[in-house]
Amino acid sequence: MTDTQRIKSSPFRLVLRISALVLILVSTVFWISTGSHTGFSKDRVEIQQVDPITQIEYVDYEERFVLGVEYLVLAWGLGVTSFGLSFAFRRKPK
Amino acid sequence: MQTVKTLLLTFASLCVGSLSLQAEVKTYDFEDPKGVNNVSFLLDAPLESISGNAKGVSGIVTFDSANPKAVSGTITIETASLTATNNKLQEHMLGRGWLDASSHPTITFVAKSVSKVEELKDGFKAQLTGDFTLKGVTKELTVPVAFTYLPGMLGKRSNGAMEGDLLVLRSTFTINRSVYGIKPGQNSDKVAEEIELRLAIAGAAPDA
Repeated sequence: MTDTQRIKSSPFRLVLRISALVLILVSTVFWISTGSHTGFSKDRVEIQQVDPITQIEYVDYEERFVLGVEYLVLAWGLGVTSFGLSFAFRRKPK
Repeated sequence: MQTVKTLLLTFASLCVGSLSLQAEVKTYDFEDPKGVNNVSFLLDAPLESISGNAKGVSGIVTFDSANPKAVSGTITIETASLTATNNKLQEHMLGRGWLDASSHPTITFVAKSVSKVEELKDGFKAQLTGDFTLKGVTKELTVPVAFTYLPGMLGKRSNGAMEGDLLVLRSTFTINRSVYGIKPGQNSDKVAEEIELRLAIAGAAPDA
């Protein structure tokens, strides 16, 4: 059996495509669920408050992770790369 | 007899005048257990916008509502109280390479003089000149400050625990990090050279 023949029967193509789909979908859903934040990731979220007596505006923090675009771009990049790599394992037409 | 009466009246009026003059000069403590006093910072660089907040504010300001030009005092911010929304960013910001909070634990402003005083409905605004110290470097700065005088409002704020007056200071000004030796000319694409500072703090002067 030659190398080319081994590649023909490789299950990698399907695995790579499913991985790409999972990466893109999961990262997008998680990004949307944490608030579709367009900046970098946050480990805490600002909550604006106003002191009723002095009218001073101040910020309280809620400890909550918000996914930023850097992870989204990374996940999409890996997904697209994985999808692209899957073509390397394409079956040759008979 | 008439002379004695006149002298007594003059003495009494001088005493009352002196007391009322003294009553207007008050010392305000800016230590804030409620966590309202804050200084926010914003650095808007081409690739990254960094913002955050500091709540470790303390200080003493002497203020005379009848003579605003007589303001004096010091405001101190604990460097370690600077908070950003990202842990890694905060760690870098307070680390040796940037603010070096362990070696320079405080940021201070010492008021020296007041100019361009303009009366407002419940206070006044003015240009306040003082010595601003950041990362061990002291430079003279003139910043616009709005003073809001809230007589008798301490009782309301402390739910009746203390009676007295409040003084609110608000100021927005910009400094250049290079001037204070914070990585001069480096990382300007991600960390802006100009730092916008917004201060909003209230001090309390309890009645004696």
